[in-house]
Amino acid sequence: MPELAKAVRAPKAPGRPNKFMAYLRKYWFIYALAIQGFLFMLVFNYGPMYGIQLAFKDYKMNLGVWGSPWVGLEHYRRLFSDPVFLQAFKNTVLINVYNLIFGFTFNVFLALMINEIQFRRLKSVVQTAVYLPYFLSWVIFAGLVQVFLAAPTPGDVGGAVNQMLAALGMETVDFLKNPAMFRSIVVITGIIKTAGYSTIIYLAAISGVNPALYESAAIDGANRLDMMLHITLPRILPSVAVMFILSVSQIFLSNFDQIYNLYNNFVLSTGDVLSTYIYRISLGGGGTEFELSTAANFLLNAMGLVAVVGTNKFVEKMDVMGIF
Amino acid sequence: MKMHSKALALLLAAIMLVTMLAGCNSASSSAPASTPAQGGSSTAAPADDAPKGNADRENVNIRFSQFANSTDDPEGMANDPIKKAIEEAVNITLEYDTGTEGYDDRMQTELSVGAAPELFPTWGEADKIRAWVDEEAVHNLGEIINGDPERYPTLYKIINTPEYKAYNKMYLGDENATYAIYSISSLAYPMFNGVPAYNTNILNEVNDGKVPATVDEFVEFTNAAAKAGYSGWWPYNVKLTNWGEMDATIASPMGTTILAPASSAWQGFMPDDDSKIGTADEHWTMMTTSEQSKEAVKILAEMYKTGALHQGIGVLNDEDDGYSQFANGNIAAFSYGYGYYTQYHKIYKSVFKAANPAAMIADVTLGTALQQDGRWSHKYDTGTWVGANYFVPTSCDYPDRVLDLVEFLATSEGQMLLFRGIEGLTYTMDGGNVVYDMDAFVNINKSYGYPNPDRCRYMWFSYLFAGGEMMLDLENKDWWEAVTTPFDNTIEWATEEDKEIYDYSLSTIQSFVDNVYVKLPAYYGFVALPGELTDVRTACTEITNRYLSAMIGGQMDIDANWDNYVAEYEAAGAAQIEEALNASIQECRETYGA
Amino acid sequence: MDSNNKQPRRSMRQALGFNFYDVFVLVFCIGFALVCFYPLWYVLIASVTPYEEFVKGGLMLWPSGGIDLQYYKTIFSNSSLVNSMWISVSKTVIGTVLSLLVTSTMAYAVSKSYVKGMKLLNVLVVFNLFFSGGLIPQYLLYMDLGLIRNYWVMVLPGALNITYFIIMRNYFSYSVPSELEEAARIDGCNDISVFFRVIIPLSKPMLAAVGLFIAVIQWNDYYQYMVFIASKPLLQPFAWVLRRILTDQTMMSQVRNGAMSLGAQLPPPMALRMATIICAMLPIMCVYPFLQKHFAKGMMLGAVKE
Repeated sequence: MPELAKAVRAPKAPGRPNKFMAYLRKYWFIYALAIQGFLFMLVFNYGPMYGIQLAFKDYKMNLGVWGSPWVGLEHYRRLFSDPVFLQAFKNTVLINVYNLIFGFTFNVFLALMINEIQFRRLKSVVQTAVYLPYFLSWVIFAGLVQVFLAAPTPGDVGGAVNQMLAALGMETVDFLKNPAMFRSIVVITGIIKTAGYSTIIYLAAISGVNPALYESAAIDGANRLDMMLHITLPRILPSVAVMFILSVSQIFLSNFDQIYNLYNNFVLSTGDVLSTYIYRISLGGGGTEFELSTAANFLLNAMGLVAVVGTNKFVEKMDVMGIF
Repeated sequence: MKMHSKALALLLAAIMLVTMLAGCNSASSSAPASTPAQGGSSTAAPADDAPKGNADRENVNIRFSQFANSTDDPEGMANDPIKKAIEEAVNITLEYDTGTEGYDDRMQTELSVGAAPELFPTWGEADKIRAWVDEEAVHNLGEIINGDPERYPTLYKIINTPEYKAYNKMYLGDENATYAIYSISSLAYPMFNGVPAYNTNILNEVNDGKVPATVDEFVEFTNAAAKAGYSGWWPYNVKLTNWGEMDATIASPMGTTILAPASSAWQGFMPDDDSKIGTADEHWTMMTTSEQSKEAVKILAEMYKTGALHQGIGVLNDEDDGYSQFANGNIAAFSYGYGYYTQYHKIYKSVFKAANPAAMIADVTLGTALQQDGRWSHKYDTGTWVGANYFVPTSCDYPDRVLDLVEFLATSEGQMLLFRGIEGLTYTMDGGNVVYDMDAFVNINKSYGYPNPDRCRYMWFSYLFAGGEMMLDLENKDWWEAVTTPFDNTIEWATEEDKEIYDYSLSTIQSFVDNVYVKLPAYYGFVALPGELTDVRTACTEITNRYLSAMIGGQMDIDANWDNYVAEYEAAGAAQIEEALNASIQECRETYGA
Repeated sequence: MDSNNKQPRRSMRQALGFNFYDVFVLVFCIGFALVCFYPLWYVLIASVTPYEEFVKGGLMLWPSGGIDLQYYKTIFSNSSLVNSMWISVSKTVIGTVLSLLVTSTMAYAVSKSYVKGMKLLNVLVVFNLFFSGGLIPQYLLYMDLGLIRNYWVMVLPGALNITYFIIMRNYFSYSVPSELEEAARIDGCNDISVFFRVIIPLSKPMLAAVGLFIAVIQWNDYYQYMVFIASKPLLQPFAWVLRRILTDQTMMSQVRNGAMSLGAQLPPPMALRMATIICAMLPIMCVYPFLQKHFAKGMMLGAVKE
């Protein structure tokens, strides 16, 4: 790919006196396209960036962001002195890694499978159906998960899944109170809720693949599985790579709505994540949430950045553009 | 293609233009950026010889903020006669501000950047208030009020009572530092939890209609219900973190408490001897980790195992799943803080009868607080609590005008306006009796998110002075007396049907309330744990939640793990809390005891 | 391997493969589609089931006990609803068009990494994926710009969407064949006409998909209102009104202590929340098929020979 870019760059006039102006004149349109985004970025993204210092400051209202005194790593000391924080941190990372391994793979697989449906009508029906759960807020979706997974209690036969287990003569399971199962439940419900939505980008990318490629492959004797693996997949690899890196960037962050609505005290050991932890400790009041959450965010984002830079290196080795 | 590119280029230009215009528009239309005012500058208003009334003062815009109302109906708001009456009386323009989700954060953020409402609340967290004062974010109201007693006669009287000053001292360490309009609240009747309501049919079926009176009888009943195919008991709990009902029902009659030391200062503690309360010998002991608590947890775990305690608690939702299962006849006993009589109305009428339109009051039996070995469940309470304290931010240039509003609302005229409305519209006088027109009140309140005929008061400012949302006589009574003896007019405006419900629950509760309710001396209201212990208390809460959930839920053997539980408490620094509590009690007794 | 040998083997394998493979694809896709569809169906049924029926619980496959629209009536009796719909539609349209415009043009420009400064610009943009200044500086900035309690705070700050910037930039770099651009240049097109005549038409599927994403984000966003406007009922977006119906009571019981909630209303039963969800997703569901048509269509068909 880079060779092609060079080819386009070829007509370049080097070493003239007013070469700067000439360069501008040559590429003015490209710069013009970038300028609005640049301005928006400058104002709305970089404008407030000085606030990051709050992670290391004790914010005083009358002194403002700049005037508030520095406290060094005090906020971090507070965070790391708490074993619950470390447990929550571990849970966050684990849940996200599982999400990355299973959720991510599943999404790509689902997109490829939907693409393989031969009947146009059915294809769009399936695509619409898998896209639906995205619209259920977690309050509702978690409520449904509880309805379906409920354990039988006296006077109540329990949720659909346990009814099924009972009908098959198996022992019923109290899914939502079992710490060993909680992360799996989080990952699976996450997949059901977001898979359809995530596949849209892949399906859009797949639609860009030239059908002539399939025709010639068919003539060469490839079956559909071969075509999928050797034509479709490579063509959507750039999108897959970007989505992957974007997921990696979220690896230290957690979906508060999902976990908060699904978890309970029984599964704190495996289910408590950073956002729920911070929510619980800051409910008590106290005036330091700004700094504490700024501090936590800064740390997590910095770590996310490191993870992404690593992943990006790896992805670039595969001759696919990363996010930088 | 040409068309496309032209259209696109046009669109691009248009968007940029709109964007720029937007910037201009907004600059001119938005409220003038408030500049931080020097506290009290406005108090130095030119002193005219003739006393000025509100009508002569400048008409200003006051944004008043209150939690959990709604401002969705601008039309209704514009026609709100009570709002108009207030605006007219104080010569101001009122702007209502509200929110639920993220409300506290928004107030804090707006305050931080100098954009807070002119009158806004907080929930009485001492740390927060201290920070606001230290960082000069809120006006010193005492300075303004004391500077002009004739203008603020009621407020002047209020803030100069010894009790009010005691709160100043508690929050800010200086009894003359009046920065807040305190909301010290109290109810007309005592309230406490730990009183189950029973499904009468199940009570008849498995217990011959006998209402359990002791813990043993209750456990037996719930077990019998579980055997008969029902869930025995649903105690209110949020994700198994609100242990209040279980605590008050099972642990308290056993003379202990399973609660973690959080929220109120003495939660998680029990007095060594009730009769010594108020004397120099009083002492409270942390009971959460005691042997008695271990026994209580064992009882709960046993109940959980058999289904006598609903196994969905901690996972299912109280307000959806719990309600519907109780209404549907699957749950034998349901607890939702029945200490205050109006709550029976909720469980019977809004829950049970809503799902069973043919139901009668007799179908939901309100039980009694439980005893064990002759000891009743105990509720230790001063009868008062701190509600939403109100502040005026320093970004407000006219705190004197804001206080005019507060002063007006504190007078009898203002209180009548808030709690009775306007004569001839929301109420009429029949001799000495007030006859309320509920429809007229609903008509006003429905604009603010309260469309049901279940409250008879104006929904704004209702907890400006007292969180109990009841009328106070601040003008004639001493402040402390006024806030501790609010006027509950519920029975007056209730419909015949509701009256019957209220009478039933009130008389049931009255029959045992004296055995349960232990009123603490007033100085307990000032007992507070130092802010440094916040982290310890948070840690204790985490430990309790973790262990008790697992123990009651059967995931953890109680005998094998109780020592670990106690050890973790010790490691977290629980002993400090006990020490600090008793020290604070002693100090308050010595300072305010007389 | 000569073609005579190959031919029969391929067709056999293909015939066999076709059946087995297709059955697997269909079973998998339809199965997952059902798993995804049922929750919504349940929500729909629950939203029209009378409360007496709903509390009986169990699996609901069909509305039993008649259809009761009381929850929808409750929602639509909310007087600010119509206005909030209008706010939401307008901010979704303006926000999406603006965001798509700003993000896609910048993404295209930055995809020309051989132009000086673009690589730096790229890093500057991506950096924002990880760091932001936080609430207070944001609030101060918006105050200076006059955006507090202003409609435009819901539209302008998010105009440059970093995530979709990255996706589109890579799309322009990789999925739009450079051969097409070259061919256009040889035909005498300059940068401008290449952009409008080649790139834009070729990117329709991606623009449609990203447009949908951004529209959904805009439609569902209530945070900007909640934090930066909060008390202007006439500017409430639909998502915020619905959000409150959905969660207010829960929040109330969490935040208000027991005594505060003495007279609190009965929280809306689950069914009311269900009806809310249906209302929230309806508009997007109406737009979806039109967009789906776009991003499912192969736009490159015959555009270039490889």
